[in-house]
Amino acid sequence: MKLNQVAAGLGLQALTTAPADQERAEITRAHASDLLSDVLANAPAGGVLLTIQVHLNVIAVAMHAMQAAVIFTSGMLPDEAVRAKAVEEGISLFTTRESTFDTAGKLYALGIRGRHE
Amino acid sequence: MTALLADLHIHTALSPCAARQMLPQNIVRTCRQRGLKMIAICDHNSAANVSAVAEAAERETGSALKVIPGIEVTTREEVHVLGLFPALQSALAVSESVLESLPRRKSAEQAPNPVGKDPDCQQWILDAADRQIGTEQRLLTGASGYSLSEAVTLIRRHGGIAVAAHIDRRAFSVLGQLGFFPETPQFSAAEISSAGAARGRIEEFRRYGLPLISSSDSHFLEDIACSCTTFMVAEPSFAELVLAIRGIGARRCQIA
Repeated sequence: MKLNQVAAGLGLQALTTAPADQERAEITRAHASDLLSDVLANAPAGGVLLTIQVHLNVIAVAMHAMQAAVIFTSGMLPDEAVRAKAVEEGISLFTTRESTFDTAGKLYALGIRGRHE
Repeated sequence: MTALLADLHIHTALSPCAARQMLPQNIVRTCRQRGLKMIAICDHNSAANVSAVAEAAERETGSALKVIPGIEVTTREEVHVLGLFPALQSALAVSESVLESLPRRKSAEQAPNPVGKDPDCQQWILDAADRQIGTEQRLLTGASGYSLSEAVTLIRRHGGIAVAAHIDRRAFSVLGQLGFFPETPQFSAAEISSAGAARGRIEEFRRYGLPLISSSDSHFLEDIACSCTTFMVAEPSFAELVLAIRGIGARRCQIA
C-alpha cells in the first residue's frame, strides 16, 4: 500500500508535504514504540513509526532506521524545529488524535505488518 | 587535595519507589558506616527531604558527611536527569517549578500509591529526627512538564549542574529513551548505574565525551555506597565537586 493511501485510509493529518515519489512509497511494515533505542534496534526499514515521543531525536533515529514516515499518535505535535529537520531529511510526518493502539489496529487491518510477520 | 568517597544519587522515603527505612538518620548512619564523605539526595521530582538529611548529617557527624542538595527530574521524554546544586535554596526553587508541572492526582484516597514496593511508603516529607511532617500528594514518579532541554536549562539557571542519570540502563535514560545523546543540552557528567559499573561497562560510555561518575541510586539502605565515585578535591563542597568533574588543577573524579 502506498504511503498516501495509508494516510488517507487512516485520516492522518500531514505535517510535511512530501515529494510525489515519497508519497507513493510502498509501505508494508510498521513499528510502534516510544523508546528510541528500541526503534533503532527493531523498526523494519522502509516502514512507518508510531510514537508519542516528539523529541528532535525521533527524526535522526527514524533516518538511521530508514523509516519512510513517522505518525505521532494521541494528538502529539512536534516543535517546528523537528518538523523542519524531517523536511530536510525527507521523512514524512503525520499526526492523529487516535492512540497508538487504535492506529496500529487500523494499519494492521490495511494489511501492514510488524517486523516478525 | 584529599580523596573523598561520594555517592551522589540517594533517594529518601519521599520517593514512592523507595523503602520506608530511607529516613534521614538511617541514611546518615549507613553512609558513615560505609566510609562516604559526600552524598547527594536526589528524590524524584522533589528536594523536600534534602534539608532533613543535611541537618541529620550535621548533628550526627559535624562536617564529616557533606550533603549536596539534589533532585532527579523526570522529563517529558521520561528521561531522568540529576540536578546537583550549590545550596538548598537553589534545589528547592527547581523542585518547586518541577512539582508545579507534575500532573495532579485525582485524589489521594482514590489513587493510592501504585508503584511503591513498600505498601506503607506514602511519599513522606521528613524532619532530621526521622519524624514524618507531611506527605507529598502529587505522584512523584510521573513525568514533569519539562522537556530534557528545559529541565537542564532550569537546573543551570539556578546554579546547578545536570548529570544524565544511569545512562547504561534501558529505562529512563537518555540513551534508552532517545537512542543517543542529542546535541543539546550539554550535560556536565553522565552517571553509570551500579549494575553497569559492576559489569565493567564503564569504558563503553567514554565515547560520549562526558566525565563519568557512578552512584548507587539507592532506594534501600543496603544499596547505599554499592557504587561510588572518588573525588580528589581541596574540600568537600559543591564548587570543588564541579571543578573535579571538569578536571581543573589537580582535581579529578574517578569511579571507585
